[in-house]
Amino acid sequence: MVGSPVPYKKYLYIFLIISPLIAMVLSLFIGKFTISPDDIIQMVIFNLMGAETSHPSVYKTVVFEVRLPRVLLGMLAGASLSVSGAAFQAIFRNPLVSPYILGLSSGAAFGAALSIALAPQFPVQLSALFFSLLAVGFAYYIATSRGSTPVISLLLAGVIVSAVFDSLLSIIQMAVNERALQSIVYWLMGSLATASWSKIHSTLPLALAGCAVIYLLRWRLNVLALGDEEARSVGMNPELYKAVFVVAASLAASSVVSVVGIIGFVGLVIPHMMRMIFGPDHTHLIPLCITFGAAFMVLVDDIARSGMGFEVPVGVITTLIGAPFFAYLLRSTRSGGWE
Amino acid sequence: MISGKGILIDGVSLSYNGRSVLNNICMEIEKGRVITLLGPNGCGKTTLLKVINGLLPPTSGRVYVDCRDTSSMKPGEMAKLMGHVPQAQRSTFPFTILDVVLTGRFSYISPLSKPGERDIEKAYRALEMVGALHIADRPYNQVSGGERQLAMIARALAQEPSFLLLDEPTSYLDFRNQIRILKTVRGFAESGLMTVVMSLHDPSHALMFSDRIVLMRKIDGDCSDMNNVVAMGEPVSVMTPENIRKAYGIDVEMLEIKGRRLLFPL
Repeated sequence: MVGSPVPYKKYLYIFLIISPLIAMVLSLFIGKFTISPDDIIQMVIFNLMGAETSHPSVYKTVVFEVRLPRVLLGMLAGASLSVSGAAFQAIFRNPLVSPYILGLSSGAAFGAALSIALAPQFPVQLSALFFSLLAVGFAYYIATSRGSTPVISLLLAGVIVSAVFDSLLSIIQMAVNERALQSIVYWLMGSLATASWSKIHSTLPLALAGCAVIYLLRWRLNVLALGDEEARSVGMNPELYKAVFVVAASLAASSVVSVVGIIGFVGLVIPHMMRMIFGPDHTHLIPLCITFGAAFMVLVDDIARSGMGFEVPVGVITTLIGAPFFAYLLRSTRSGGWE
Repeated sequence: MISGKGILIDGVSLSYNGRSVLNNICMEIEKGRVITLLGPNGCGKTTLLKVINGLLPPTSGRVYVDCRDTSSMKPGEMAKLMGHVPQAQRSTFPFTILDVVLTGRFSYISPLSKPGERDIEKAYRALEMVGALHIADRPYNQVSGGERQLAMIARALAQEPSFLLLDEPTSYLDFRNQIRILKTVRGFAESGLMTVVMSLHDPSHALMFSDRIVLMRKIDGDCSDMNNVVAMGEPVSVMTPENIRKAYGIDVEMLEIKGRRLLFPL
């Protein structure tokens, strides 16, 4: 991308960078509760100016307490998962990697189930966050010997840690009553339905910190992606940067997973899509993952909450919408640039 | 070493899992020369190059570059001093050749930054030096092995090093490119730009392009007093049939054609 990109790609790049704004505005108008677009525009404008409007308070609740937080949480989740996925793919130099490769999702699922089953008064979010990071920490610890962490060891350690937490989750699922089991299963599917301002406030710091670190150091992912020895010979300490990126990517993904549950596919496929269109240079890839990941998630969630007669878990829709789109790109870009 | 400039390898030994690969290597590499490491597969050429570059810490012994102990150097300092071109190149990502060459600028770019115009210019100049400017925008994993080799050499040149280490730089190249690369690196040394240490497989290339040859052999892991180096020095004095037999275990004949020496297997 340092050369001269084809003009249409330049416009597409700009469009994708501003896409979350468009998606956000659009999504405020969508929902089961009917409010006329005029009313919504008036309310938003008045609200921005800090003035009161004469609209029914239920309108305000729907727009500012239901739709807006849900849209913002969706954007946060989409951006964090995509950036995290892009970083993990670069660290592992592997196209099949998602943010969940080191057992993050299995750990989160176990943590959530544990809290639902044993301590309903304890926040599910904290337990999920704790165990997801614990799982990643375990995987990293197992894979590290004599000061170095080969990515193959890391990959295997991730598989092992995931398996262990999956088994522990099964035990909980067998042991709990039906009501708890239902909430566990619903949590596992991932949903933005319970979005609120307080959830945004509790997710934002860690998600933002993780994304910011990856964004700021993004060119260094190019160097790391060429291989440990190749990185070392140009003066990089690959072990240090691997650790930094794993921590940042895990924080970004864990913080949203612990709130919205396990939303699959986004972290795997958004980085792929952007790489297919714009190439693998992370100086462009990372900003694109942030913006398009956010827009994609919000639009998909619009379909999840109002496309059918009932609310469908967003994790299901991300896959059903994303897969054909991905297949199209894969076919039209010749093996997607992967050899 | 009296002048102190160049590379001094002082009693370097290295073993992997208890098996000795390098044993008590001592050599001096003068600045501005082309030094070729020659020897059979598994004799430790690649390992020695990695030890010199600080990629592998030796089990014992030290390496000094321009009088400085390499074990006390920071990776960034080392990268500005020494460029290393590895033997095998792989990449899963379709980075452009230019993006790959730009990674050579790593130690010049502050952590939160990305390559600037100056870096891009230097990357282009490095590509020009190896005659690969025309492939700058091609994806690294979709060009030929030879072109990838050229890109990796350009990447090392983008580090602006005073020492260039090349591990079998001609292995993926066609006849023309082999000669071109060897002439190019020879030119770097002759113009005083850098010192070149490389490993080669072709004895005639070694004879043609080196100031010094280090002929090596595989050492027996159990035999503790065996040294890897069979002979080192001027090409003609090193490349004798007796030394070749010691290193490779084969018999060769030395012919002199038009003032040049060539080796033929018997």
